[in-house]
Amino acid sequence: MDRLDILKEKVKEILPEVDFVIGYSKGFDILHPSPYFVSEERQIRNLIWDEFCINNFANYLPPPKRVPNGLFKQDEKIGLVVKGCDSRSIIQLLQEEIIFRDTFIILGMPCEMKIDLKKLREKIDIDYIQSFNVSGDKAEVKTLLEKKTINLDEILYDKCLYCKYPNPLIYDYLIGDKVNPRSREGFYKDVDEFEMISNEEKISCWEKEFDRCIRCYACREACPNCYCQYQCIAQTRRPHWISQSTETIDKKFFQMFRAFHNAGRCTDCGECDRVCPVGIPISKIMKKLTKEVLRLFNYEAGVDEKLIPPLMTYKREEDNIG
Amino acid sequence: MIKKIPLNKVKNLLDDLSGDYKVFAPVKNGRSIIFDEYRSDKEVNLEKFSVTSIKEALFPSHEAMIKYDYKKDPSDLSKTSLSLKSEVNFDKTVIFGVHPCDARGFFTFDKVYAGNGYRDVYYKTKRDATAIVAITCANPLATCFCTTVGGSPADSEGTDVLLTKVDEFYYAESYSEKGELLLKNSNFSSPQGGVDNEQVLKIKEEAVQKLDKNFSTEGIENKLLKIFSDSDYWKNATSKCLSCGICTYVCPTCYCFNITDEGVMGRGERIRSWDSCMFPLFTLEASGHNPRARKFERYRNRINHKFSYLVIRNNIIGCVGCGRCIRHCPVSLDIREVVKGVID
Amino acid sequence: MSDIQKDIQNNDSNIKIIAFLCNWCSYGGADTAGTSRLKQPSEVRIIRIPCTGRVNPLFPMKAFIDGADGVLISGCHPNDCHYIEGNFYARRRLEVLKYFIDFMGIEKERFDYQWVSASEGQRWQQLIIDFVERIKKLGPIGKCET
Repeated sequence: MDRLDILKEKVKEILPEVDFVIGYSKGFDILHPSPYFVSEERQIRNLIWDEFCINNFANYLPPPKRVPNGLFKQDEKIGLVVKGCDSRSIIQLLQEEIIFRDTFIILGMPCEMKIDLKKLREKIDIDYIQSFNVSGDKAEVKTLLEKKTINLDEILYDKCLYCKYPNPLIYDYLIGDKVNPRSREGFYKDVDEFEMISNEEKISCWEKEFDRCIRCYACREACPNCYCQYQCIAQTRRPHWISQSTETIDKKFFQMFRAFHNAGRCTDCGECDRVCPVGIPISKIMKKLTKEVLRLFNYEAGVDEKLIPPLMTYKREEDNIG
Repeated sequence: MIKKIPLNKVKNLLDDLSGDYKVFAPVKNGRSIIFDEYRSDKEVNLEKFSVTSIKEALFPSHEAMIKYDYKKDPSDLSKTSLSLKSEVNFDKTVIFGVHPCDARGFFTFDKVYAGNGYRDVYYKTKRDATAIVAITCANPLATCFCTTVGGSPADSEGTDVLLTKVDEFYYAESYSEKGELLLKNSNFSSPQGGVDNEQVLKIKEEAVQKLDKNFSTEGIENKLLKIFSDSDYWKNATSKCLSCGICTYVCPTCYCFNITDEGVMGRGERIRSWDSCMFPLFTLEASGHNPRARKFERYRNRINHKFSYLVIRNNIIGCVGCGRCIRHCPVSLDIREVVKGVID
Repeated sequence: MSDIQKDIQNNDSNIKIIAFLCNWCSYGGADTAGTSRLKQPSEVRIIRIPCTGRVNPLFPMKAFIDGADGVLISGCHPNDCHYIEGNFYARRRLEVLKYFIDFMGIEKERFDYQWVSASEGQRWQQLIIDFVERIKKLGPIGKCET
């Protein structure tokens, strides 16, 4: 049976227990699925599951984000579709004790791969997309203007290309069979390369990237770990840490402290990078942090619920510092 | 006046213009196309849809309104003098290569910032010194809905020059004195008679036909007011929203701003920077009370502002149907669906 | 004119260094250096903090963004923290921060954290002289760095 059919059946089964289930449905075109809140049985048929279902629903969980937003009440129970990478976000939030395990049901989706639209856009003009079909390790893409066959490896998200945890690490129900993980080797390639360049080049590179930031804070709002809400110092006037101007330096500073606030917590889900409307490679910054955390503390965020995030603890004798 | 210009001369034209004017054009910046000031080392892309709208040119993401400086008298430290500087000077500007919907976006700004009531000097001076060169939008996207809200992909309203691409040429029609002045540039040549004219008309008509009307805007302002208190509708429609500011910041008509004093040690600027009604902080009051604390209330306000309040107060729909808020929304929240839901 | 004022006047290097010093150790250490008349470079602006564990990584970042050419954080030796464990947390954070700011275009040599106790006036003097020399060699932070 198709994974989607199993999912639909499972949603039908758990729907009486929960207030709603968050899954994916069709968006304005085939490349842009949209989060879908299923609260009635008739809505289940609209659920979809394909290479483009990418949103990290863990983001809807932290109470500071949802309760004041009236999204759902504190005591409500929800179900959500969770990919391998998203499950790490959930574990991270559980570790921080910001969410509680008995308030949601996880429908774990083993995930083969997701297509990075930013990479796909470089290959073909996806504004006029008509169809996208995967066969083997290639994809046939048809737009209004042209038709192309593209190697899947060239258009997968980096996190998928080196996906170590394609199967959810935490779930109530696993939908379909598990898939094989890929090798992590090479995941930090772009970070390694960037470290090697000179300081001047680094500066001018970030200068160029942050020049086009519009300070929409989508990176922050899309991040499951960013739940400071009103208290985010990016906008507070008291304390007044950062100017509201859109000078490149202020935008870079914002991203620096946002990133560092996620040090040891970031699970490399890549949502910040994906949602950026102007394509700033934020995940490169986040990856640098996860790389350092891995090197210094031999720790991966969101893998084991029992561990304490590395910057919230210490060792008297550090293994890799000193 | 009707002129034409070969595609390969557009670069020359922009270089020429940037001598006399400040030129804004859709330029490639990294992987994205954004509206930015043109320099000859930047790559202009007139084919694709830019991420940001042109409002940046007349309503910058931040601008200094006042510069202030407190100075202590070195001989008498109890005395402090304050110097204030406010500068409004603006160079002649050409906004080049916009879509007709973007050009219409300034109508909303005009009503609010340069209408009969308040006149915003920062906006108005720039607006008066600006000429807009638009391009007929021959291949609208799936997210476009300009015809629904009263525009058209070949709309000449609000533009000074409208370019239409025919084979290897852009045909340029001027609609104002500012436009005619631009067409006097030597890179333009005169077209040969009626054949081209017909072709231009045909392309424009075809473009219009490519777009369907999504909904009828008739009486929408009252329908929205009627459904205002139906919070279940709004909750369901917006539950996936992330409360980020993308939709408002890429929008060509969203004009809200925040004013803050940014400075250190008695010296600095009072700046005005974009603000977004999608942020909870937008309406947070000093008391701690927030009249629009929940995101469905904020989103409802955005829709109501565009399709109801502006219509009632200023007789203009505050949406030009460019579809940016749909295209760039991280959760693909479709404003058309939400409005359609209200009408049904 | 005092020696210090002369020093400041003759100082044409235009280097600005911010030092965050723990109240219980390094601030005392710098004080010890002062009372023992050990000369310290005048480029350093000292900010007293209750503990290195108090240092939000935002502090050094903000210092760099606002134009500091170097930031030094100093506190009690590990195991000697007045609050038992503050500097253990700080050590982890600041170590990550060092490599992180380097990635963002602020050389990691511009940033350092050290352990100096209240009695180590001499050690403080040597350390701060070396640090200032190091920053002088790097020169003022690039405009686009800030």
